[in-house]
This record gives sequence, structure tokens and C-alpha cells, in this order.
Amino acid sequence: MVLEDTSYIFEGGNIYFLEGKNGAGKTTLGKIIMGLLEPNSGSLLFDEEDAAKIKPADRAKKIGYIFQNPALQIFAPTVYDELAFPYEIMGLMDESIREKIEESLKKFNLLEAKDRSPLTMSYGEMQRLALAGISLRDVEFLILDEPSSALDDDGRKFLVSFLKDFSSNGGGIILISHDEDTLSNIENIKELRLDDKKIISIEKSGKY
Amino acid sequence: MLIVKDLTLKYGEKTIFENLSFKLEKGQILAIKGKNGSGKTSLCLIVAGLLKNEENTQISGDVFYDGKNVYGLTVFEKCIEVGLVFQNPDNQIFSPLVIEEIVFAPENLAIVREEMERRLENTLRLCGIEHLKSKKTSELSGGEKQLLALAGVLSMQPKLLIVDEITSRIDFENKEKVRRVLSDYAKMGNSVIMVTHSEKDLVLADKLLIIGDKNN
Repeated sequence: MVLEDTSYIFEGGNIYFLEGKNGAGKTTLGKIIMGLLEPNSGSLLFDEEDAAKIKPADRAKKIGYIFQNPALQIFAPTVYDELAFPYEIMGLMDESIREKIEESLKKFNLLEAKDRSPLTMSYGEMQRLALAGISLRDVEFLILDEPSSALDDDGRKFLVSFLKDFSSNGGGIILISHDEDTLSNIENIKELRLDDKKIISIEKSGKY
Repeated sequence: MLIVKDLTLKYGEKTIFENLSFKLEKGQILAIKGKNGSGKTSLCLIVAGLLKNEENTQISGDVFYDGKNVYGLTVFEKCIEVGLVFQNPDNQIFSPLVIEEIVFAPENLAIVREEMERRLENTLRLCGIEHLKSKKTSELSGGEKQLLALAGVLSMQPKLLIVDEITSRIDFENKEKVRRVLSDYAKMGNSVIMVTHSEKDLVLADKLLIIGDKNN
């Protein structure tokens, strides 16, 4: 049993930092919310609508997810193709989207790598690419599983600023992380701990 | 002692780093920092003798352990000289069970059974994963896999231990444990190379190498 009879309300505009021992179920919880895993019982509601009645494609329009191992979600032959894929597949590619992708490449310091195969990228570069990918989609919520574990100093500063912008525009973020340096630079985070199969809210620990 | 001399790495036309030189004495910890894509992981692979000259990979320069060129060592010699914990533990964990993952190397190095069992118990305890002893590796979380990968490498007792972002996914309690393990391992007379972006990890280091823009 990983999670048991636990409830929590995540609201837009907040950054939730979810901590807990290795193996406590943080990634599992993230995957359940994303729809990648089914719970044995209980319910998930998005704006009071039962998640079970929402098609996976529609859920993906609301929530962006970054895997702990970004290589699991990157599959296109080039960096540019990775960012262009959702628009190509939905027949939405046009000049304004191309400009949006170029902007994103610049913003995430991936412009020089745009024609490279993601397979030739370092782990940290792949993390940046995964972030760039979800930032292009107008999602309401982000679930980020160890998004900074391999980022360099510049990448971490950028991630912090990206998270602040996202939440100040009303987006909600669930951040699963053990990165002390990044966490200490994010203000007003809501600290949650997964302990003994339950989500527990922690009063400001003062650690971050 | 580890000596790296005039090491240059190119992938195709792109120079990753050039004329990199440093030494690491026994008992010392070297931390390596640098921008993403600057070649930190590639450097670890070269020092471990795992990256070779191929069609799109050009390596020049030398890496010596105690006077021996790393590329002249046999697989057996490499295993007892150097251990590498990969940045992504999924790339190195292959046994179905936790116990099998840890004893695989000692078993194949023909270590006697009693010593193998002692190393198994010792590394499980050192890495704080005794409770995972009977689990399948497929059931482990990312942080648990990082700890297992470390345990597996420590079971070989390499003289040079290389860890690539080892604390990145480990919970806060175990981070401190792992830092103590690395520090104690060096105090035992071994050398440790640690790729990290963590300020708290950097505190352990005797030396710091920053790689970036081909200048080091």
C-alpha cells in the first residue's frame, strides 16, 4: 500500500513542494493525478469534475508533467521536432507557432541545439528540453518530478523564475524535489510531506 | 594517484573540452562542476575507461592510475581500480533483485562467499537500504535506485570512486548519510570524484574542477 485514505485540495496560483522519504510514493501520486496510474479507490476531481470522466487527451491539456527521467518523455529526432510535435500532430502548425517555438528555444537556452538529436544531449539539457516542451502548452497545472536534479546554476535560476511566473499567472505547481539549493530560492511555497501513506501539510519549516 | 594529462574530447566537429589536466591523490575528494553539456559526465566515462575513440568520438591525452594507463587495463583491473555510479541509475541497474545487483560484481570478481556476504550487509547498511534487501529493483523509486547503484559500486571496493550527481534524487536524510559515506571512503585512502551542482556536496571536496567553454 503506497497511499491510503488521503485527501488534499491543490489550488491554482500555489507552488506545492512535496517531500518525503525515497519510496514514500511521491512519484506515484504525481502519476495518479496525471492519469498515468489508476488508484484502487477514491476519486480525483478537476474543478469539481470527476477525472474518470475526462478523456486522457483533455486531461493532458490541463496538466503538464515532467518525468523524473526526462528521457522517458522525449522521443522526437531533433530538439525542434520535440517542441513542434504537439502542433504538428493536431494540424496547428503555422507561422505564429513557429515563432513561439523559436522564442521557447531562446528562453530555455536550446537554440544552438535545435537541430540536434535529444539522444546526444546531457541529462541537464534534456531536463531543459522537457521544461520547454510543457511551457509551450497552456496548461493550468504542472507536476514536476525532480526537474532540477541535473540542471546547472543558470538552469536552476531560470527554473525558479519560470515557476514564479507560472504560479503568479494563476497556474498551480506540484514540485517533487530534493534540490535544497533550488527550493531555498522559491518564496511562499506550501510544504507537503508524504508520510505513512498520507499527504500532510507542514507549517513553514524555515528550511526553505 | 590519478593523473589526467592534456585530455581533449570532441564529438564530431564539436570540441567539448580541451587540454584538461589535473591530479587526484589518494584520500582526496574532487568535485566537478560546470554548465550542462560541458562534458562532466563524458569526463567521468573517460576516467573510468568506458568512453573510447570511435567514429564521432575523439579522445586525446592520457589518464593514469598509479602509473598505469586506463586504456591499457583489463576489464578485471578496471573493476578493482575504479567504480562509477551513473547519473541515471536506470542505465546501470540490471539485476531483477536488489541482492543480486549488489553481489553481482563481487561474484564475478571471484570474491569468496563469506566476504561477499559481508560486503552485501555492509553496503546495504552504509547506504541505508537494508529494508530494501528482499525487493525487486523494478519496485524501487528513483532515489532508492541511486542508493542501490552506490551500494553496488561500493561492493567492488574500487580505489577510485566516481559519483555523478549522486545526491540529486535522494531524500534529505539519506543525503547526509551519503555525504558521510563519501567522506569516510576518502579517509580510508581512496580517491573520490563527485560531479555535483549541490552547494552542500561541494563542502566535502578537497579540490574543485569547473569545466566550461573549453577552458578549465
